Amino acid sequence: MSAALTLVRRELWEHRGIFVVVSAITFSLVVLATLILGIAIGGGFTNVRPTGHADVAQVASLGLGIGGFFYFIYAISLIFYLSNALYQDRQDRSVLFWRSLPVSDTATVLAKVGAAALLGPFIVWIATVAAHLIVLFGLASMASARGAAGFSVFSSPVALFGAWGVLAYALVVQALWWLPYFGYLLFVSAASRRVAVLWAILPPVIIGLLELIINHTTYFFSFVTAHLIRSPVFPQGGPGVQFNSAYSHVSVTPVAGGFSWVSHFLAMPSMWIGVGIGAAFLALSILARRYSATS
Amino acid sequence: MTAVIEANGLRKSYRNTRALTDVSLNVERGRILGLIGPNGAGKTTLLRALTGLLRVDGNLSVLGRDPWRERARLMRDVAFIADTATLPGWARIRQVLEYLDKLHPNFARARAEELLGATGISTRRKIKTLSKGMTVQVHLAIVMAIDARLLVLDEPTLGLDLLFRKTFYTNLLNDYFDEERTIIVSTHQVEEVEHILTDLVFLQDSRVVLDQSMDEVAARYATVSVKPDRLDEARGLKPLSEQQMLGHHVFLFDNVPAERLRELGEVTRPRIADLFVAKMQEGRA
Repeated sequence: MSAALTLVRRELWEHRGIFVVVSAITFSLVVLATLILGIAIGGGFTNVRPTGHADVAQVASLGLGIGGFFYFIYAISLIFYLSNALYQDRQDRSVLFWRSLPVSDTATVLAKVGAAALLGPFIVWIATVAAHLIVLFGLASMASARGAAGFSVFSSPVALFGAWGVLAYALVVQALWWLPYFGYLLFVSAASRRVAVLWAILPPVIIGLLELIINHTTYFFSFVTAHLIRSPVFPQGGPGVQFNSAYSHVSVTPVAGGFSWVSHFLAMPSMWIGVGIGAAFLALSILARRYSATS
Repeated sequence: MTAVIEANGLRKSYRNTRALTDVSLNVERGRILGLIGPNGAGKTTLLRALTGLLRVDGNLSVLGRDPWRERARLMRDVAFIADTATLPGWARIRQVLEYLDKLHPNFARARAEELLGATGISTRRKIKTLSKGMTVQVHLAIVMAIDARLLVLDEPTLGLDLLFRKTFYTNLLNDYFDEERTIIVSTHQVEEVEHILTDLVFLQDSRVVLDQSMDEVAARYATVSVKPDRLDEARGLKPLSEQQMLGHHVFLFDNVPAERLRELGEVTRPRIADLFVAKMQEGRA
């Protein structure tokens, strides 16, 4: 266990920029933007209920929206992380050091995918919870200044903990859902001799174009993009902003609706087909890593 | 029984070039083997095969294991310095120590810190801020803190200045080597390892052209500074090489009885560099 943790920690040391700095910048942006917006539109929660309780849906969906935005930014930086993870050390020759240690190629590859699928989302989750609390506190203060019972937003633990629970669940399922992309990028990173990022993009584009030219269909593109866009963390295909409606149409409250929304991904065949494809790419990555010759 | 490396008929080619042709090698425990050869002779390929980084044809066993199939397990008992600059530039020294501490069962962190302390390099520094010489010192300190049975060094002092090169081998010999360990070192700077080797292997164009212990080398080869009136006689004994230095004629002989050579002039132990040059020219002829 401590060995596995150390392998993942190594990723954190090497890629602080992606795992910590990006989230820290997003954090500042989210907090600043929301508070400025709050001031601009004249003050915090608008629909504080007559009873004094803030709208549970509003509190929860705000948290989920912030989480979606964090994950969106993180997902973009993941493209760079994954396509360089097994490539950079071959370029700077430090692979010769890493592979001179008693650590198997399987452990190395799993640590990379573990960092992408668990460590990164964990940091996203922490940052989201912190940003959510600060934003709520800011908006509540503004509402109180207007004389409304702003701080009542904190009186609904279901909204807070429920939203964070849904987000944590969604982040884990998201990693499974996107495993084929993670696996593919890692494979490219382990196998390509130069410009791994380019190799990551070219083959799917070429396959899609060939299909279009030869067969006049776009099944490949549709499959790849549909699986990419239809995701647990980003309902309806866009980050954050649409959470409210996305969750509320599923069920009465965003929290309960959120859980069942995330769960329905686990029941989809394309989830498990994707996991299978992802696992196959990971196996290929391990093989490519093993055979990667360094000049 | 105490063979650390058993290699039989190793072959490897890259596209059109042969890197190893029928290479066989036996290294016993407690030996320091020098692997000498020109660039492209196959030294690096052989060393990477030993450490499981490369797949080669033929029979290869290191510490009783197949390096290609059991690399991760084997590397608990084998330490490897592939090059002068393979430590990760982004890492701090203490991060590398932490990583090894958790993942390498035979790594002694305290020992590494002690050795690093002696170099005066702070473990807080990032590897990329170190000079090449310092990086090698750090790598050597790390490797010396690994209780390995086989240490593989591939041109470990390439590009270092003289001071670092000298201390590198001195430290290795004084603070690390013992009869339980085995070292295999490749270099083309023969002079600097000459005095520490127990065994010598020359590689040329992917083949082993010499494989002998230093005692055998000393018994078999001799350098003679031949007197001017005995030159023709000396040439008649088929010397490996003849060199003219400051008016002296220096011959290198293979397997000529010592008493015969003493008649010709002053006999000395051959320098490996001279033997190497002679062997390479013989191979080219």
